[in-house]
Amino acid sequence: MSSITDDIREILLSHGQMSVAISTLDDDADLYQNGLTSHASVNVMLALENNFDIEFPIQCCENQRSSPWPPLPRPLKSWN
Amino acid sequence: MTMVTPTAISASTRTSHRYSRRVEVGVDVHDVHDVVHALCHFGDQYLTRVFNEEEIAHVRAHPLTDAVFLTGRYAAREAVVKLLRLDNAVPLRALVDLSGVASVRVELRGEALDAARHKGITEILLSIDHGRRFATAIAVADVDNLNQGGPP
Repeated sequence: MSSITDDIREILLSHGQMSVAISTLDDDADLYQNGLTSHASVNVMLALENNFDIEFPIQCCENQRSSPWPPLPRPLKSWN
Repeated sequence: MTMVTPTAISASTRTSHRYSRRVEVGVDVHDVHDVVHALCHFGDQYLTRVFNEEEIAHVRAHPLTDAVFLTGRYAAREAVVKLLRLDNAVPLRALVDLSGVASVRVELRGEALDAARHKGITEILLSIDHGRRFATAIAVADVDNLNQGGPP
């Protein structure tokens, strides 16, 4: 029976496109330092979601958009 | 006649660059095959987490160029993440959103929004180009020193 760690390593092998052998990495290795790209990390995230039937929360809060970006030009700001 | 020495020109340029205007740049080159891989394995799950409804509608209408278009959009988000120096941030649409196709507009959220405010960035301009194998994007921002929320 495979452990969660084994499943994660299998997913990294299939979707991580790492520049080093997964088997050589410690469990707490920094994946980005070992060649995981941002796009490959998206694939890994989606594969983990499917494998473990979970959904990663998106760190995006609507309440952080209460003030606009791009910001108002300074002359308009001063009138508000 | 006034002689302008190279030293004087250099000093003037440095002063102007340092105190009047600063530009932040982010660039990304992305392999179309990476996006094809993701589309094949994750389909709509990938599309909806990374891209917005406008982009998804565009690729549904232009299926022959979908992967190339999406690669350009991914590269654009990544270029913005690099411009903002968000280490290891995954450029999902929830962080960096884009609107428009011919003229692309950037909308920031969450951590990206905080970083832009902190740096005093008021506008990010994007240029995206595609080939059959790669897409590339450059993001450029004028930094408004007076609007800056923290140290450069």
